[in-house]
Amino acid sequence: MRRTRNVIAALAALPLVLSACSTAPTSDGPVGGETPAIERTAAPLEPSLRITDPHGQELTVDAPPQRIVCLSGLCDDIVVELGLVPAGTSNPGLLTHPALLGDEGSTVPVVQGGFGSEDVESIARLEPDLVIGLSGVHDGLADAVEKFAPLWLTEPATWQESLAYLRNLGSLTGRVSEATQAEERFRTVLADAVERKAGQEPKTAVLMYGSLDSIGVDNTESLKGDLLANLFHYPFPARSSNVDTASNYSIEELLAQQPDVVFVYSLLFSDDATPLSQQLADNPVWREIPAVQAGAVHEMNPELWGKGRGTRSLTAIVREAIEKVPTA
Amino acid sequence: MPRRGVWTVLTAITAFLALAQLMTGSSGNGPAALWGMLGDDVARQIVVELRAPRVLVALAAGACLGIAGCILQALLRNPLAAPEITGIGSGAVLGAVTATLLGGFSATPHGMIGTAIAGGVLGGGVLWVVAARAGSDPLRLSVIGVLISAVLSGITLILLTARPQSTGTMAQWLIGSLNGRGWAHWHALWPWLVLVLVAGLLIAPVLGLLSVDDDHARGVGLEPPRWRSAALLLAVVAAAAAIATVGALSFVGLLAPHAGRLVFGADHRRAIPGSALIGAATVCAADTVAQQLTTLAAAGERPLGIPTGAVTAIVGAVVLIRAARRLSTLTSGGQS
Amino acid sequence: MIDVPAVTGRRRLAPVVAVALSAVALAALALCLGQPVIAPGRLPAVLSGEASALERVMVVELRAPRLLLALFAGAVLGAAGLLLQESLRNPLAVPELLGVSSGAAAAVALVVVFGISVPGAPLVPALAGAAVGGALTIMAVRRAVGPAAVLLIGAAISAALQAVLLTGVSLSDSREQGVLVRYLLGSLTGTTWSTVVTTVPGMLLVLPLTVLALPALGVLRLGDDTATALGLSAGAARVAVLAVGCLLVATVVGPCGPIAWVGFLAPQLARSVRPGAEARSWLVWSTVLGALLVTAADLLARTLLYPIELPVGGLTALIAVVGGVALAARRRRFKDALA
Repeated sequence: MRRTRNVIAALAALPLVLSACSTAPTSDGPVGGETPAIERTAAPLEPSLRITDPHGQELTVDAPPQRIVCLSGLCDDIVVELGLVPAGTSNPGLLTHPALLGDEGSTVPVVQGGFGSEDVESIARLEPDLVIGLSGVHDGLADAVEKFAPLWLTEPATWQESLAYLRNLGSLTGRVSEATQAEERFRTVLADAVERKAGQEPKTAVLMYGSLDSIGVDNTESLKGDLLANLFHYPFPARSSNVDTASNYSIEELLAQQPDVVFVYSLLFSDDATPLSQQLADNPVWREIPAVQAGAVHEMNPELWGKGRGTRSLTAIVREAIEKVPTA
Repeated sequence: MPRRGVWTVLTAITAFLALAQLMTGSSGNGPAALWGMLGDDVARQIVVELRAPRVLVALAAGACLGIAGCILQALLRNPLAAPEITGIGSGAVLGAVTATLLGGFSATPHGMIGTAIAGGVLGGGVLWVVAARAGSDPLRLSVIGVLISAVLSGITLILLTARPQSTGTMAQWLIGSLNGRGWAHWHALWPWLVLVLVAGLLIAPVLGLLSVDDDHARGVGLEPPRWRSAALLLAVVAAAAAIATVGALSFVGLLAPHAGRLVFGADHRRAIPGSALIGAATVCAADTVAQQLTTLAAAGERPLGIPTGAVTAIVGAVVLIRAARRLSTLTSGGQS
Repeated sequence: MIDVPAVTGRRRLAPVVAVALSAVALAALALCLGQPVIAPGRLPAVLSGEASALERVMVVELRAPRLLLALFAGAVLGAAGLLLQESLRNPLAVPELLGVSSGAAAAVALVVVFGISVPGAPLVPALAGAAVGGALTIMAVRRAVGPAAVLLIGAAISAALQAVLLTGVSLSDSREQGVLVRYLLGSLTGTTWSTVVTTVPGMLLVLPLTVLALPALGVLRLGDDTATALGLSAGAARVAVLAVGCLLVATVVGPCGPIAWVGFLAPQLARSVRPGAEARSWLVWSTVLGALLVTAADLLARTLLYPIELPVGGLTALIAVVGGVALAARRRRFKDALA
């Protein structure tokens, strides 16, 4: 019996070790709240072959890049915004979305291999002069890709950073007027939306992805969560300093916040006959959420809402969000 | 004479497979395509900057895994011992995954090898400490290794689930892939290969004694525990260097030494370089198949990147099951 | 003289009381902890609907089905672990080392990744995968002598199947990975009554089969030679018990993924609670203790790093391997298995 107790004591110590290994969640600061008015004009922009991106990474090119290969949704978006067409993409689904190139995008060559493990040879064969990937996903390809073209790893966490990336690429390619015009288009749409919200009782919204079994939430430190926090009351702060673990919200917490509007994307088995809104309505737990009761669960395009990171996608997201939630 | 013939044939096969791998890629397969590519500027760069280092990394990683497996099998006196089922492989994977999560220097090819060795030493160290308490019986050691492996891979998977966004990238480490391996990886890997190959050859006579039983070793004035820990460390370094560079390619470390022993017999002075050669050939062949499959899959609805490890795992499993049945008498022969 | 039966009686009773008490305590904790934390005293009020609707939903619709599924999954795994260990007479004959768990998980992952429509998914593919994994191992070890040889071959086959599963994960679209991660490490996240309704009846159907497998265990205990001498087929008995074991594991892996190594620790605990008892008694204890183990691990998984949920299968792997080895290392049979 004493041996058993020793074992139990050892087992009890395990969680301590475990929890010591993980990042402690930071405090939940207030989120949502007052949003300052959005500036509608863009600052002037100069062409340059050397830029510093919003994360402090410097990038120098010999000549304005013309053949840009896109491994990240941000790239497809800002390349199209600048009036160019990617030399290759690994996000054909996003590129052919009507908000970007539509059917015209289907002529763009698709990079072989899965997301994050793109075949470097098929990238090189496209003869790129710039490759844009996603931080934390494409780092491993850097050594090989950079033998052919600079690899620019991007990850906008806010819409301001997304704009900064747009301006960066505008400078590099020399397409400064396209960049500032695109910036102003987006700023106008966002500013209109924010003004519309002012003076009204804000609705509580949440953007989530996954399936009923495993739900991820776009928290306020993610690009889309940050954007939606401008339009709605969005009480889903990041849970820890680690952006990646921050998206894990338990269903109990979602329930506690009682969202009025739920946007969902990228659901497994989404081709199923039963749409998720119906699945949620049939589910006794989710029925307790006002959004489900009111039928305010909206299924959004997973390509646009999941992978879209540039101004075109964000403009479309803001428009779709407002369209789905007409104010009273 | 026949012995030299075996070496020649094996080297020729390895060279042929390496050449086949060099001729494989999404921009064109076959000798004609390769010749054509050498005439074109961009295509030549693809051959020089991508395919050549990829072939070299495949050879080096395969050789390291073969050496690691050969040492482990001698040490544990078990033809089924391999990095992936002794806790060493899982420890190295844990190290590599941690390094990727941490980023910075630890995520560079050199840093990855360092952290993977640290992880492998953790796995091997636990194995060693537990084994020291439980006695140094080799079969017991293998069983303890399996259990350590279970705990370490549990921790790795918990780390994975903590980062759902990068599960796909991380899974590449768990299964092993050669995509995107360039000269930097080769430069980080080859010194370790040279080190473990030379050290392995030096330690081979001792391994031969240890693989029979401890009394033999003591009989010639060796201290079995000391030599066993040195050999274990060598196996850890070999496995970790390969795993940190290409991920945990499964079964290479199991099958290569097994085949090496079939061809070269029990003499470790020949079995170690033999396993290295066979391991190198195996990884080249597996990567060629994986790339061909990836090209085939590109025609489908969504692009699939078939990882090299998928090929070694599936082929390895088939060979393993056949080998395991024949081996069972050997396995039981170890206990008395 | 009179004391002796009283003492043994108390000794027999003590573990029963301890287990019953901890079961009640665990169940209460599982219902109360989370967000919001509900004081145990308020549970009756919440259950009868006198408290706020939100609290009622939390307890009745979220925590209660999850608790129930944890109990049943653990019970099934505990029973399966004991059957496998007894039939191969090896304390390391566990689903994780026989290719059964990883076979089931790999099959489900392949079905998900390639979008194959299989009737009765995920239970049917899980069952098929468990059977294939188990059969491969049994075939491969047929002539192997000694528990350690069996174990190593099983571990290698499990590793191969795990590699198939990982291939599936690395091939999958990022949106499938959330689901696939569950098959790398078991999880009870997102359990609702509808999950319970579709899974627990299957477990309830399969659990009684363990009772049918008991006579076969009796045959196997005699040893192969004795059994053959008595005109009983040890081989057939072993296959029957293993088949039941596969079935049990598949019913859990299908909905929850591999909640790893519970089938290792629960039987060990059962043996230390009732040393020298019959397999029948161990089966009961292993079932009960397995249920408690998974419930406790899930409680930890939910609350340890709240609000982040750990996969329960990762926790059980850590707890059960370390605990099981510590317990088993002191038992002679385990030492025999190792040496």
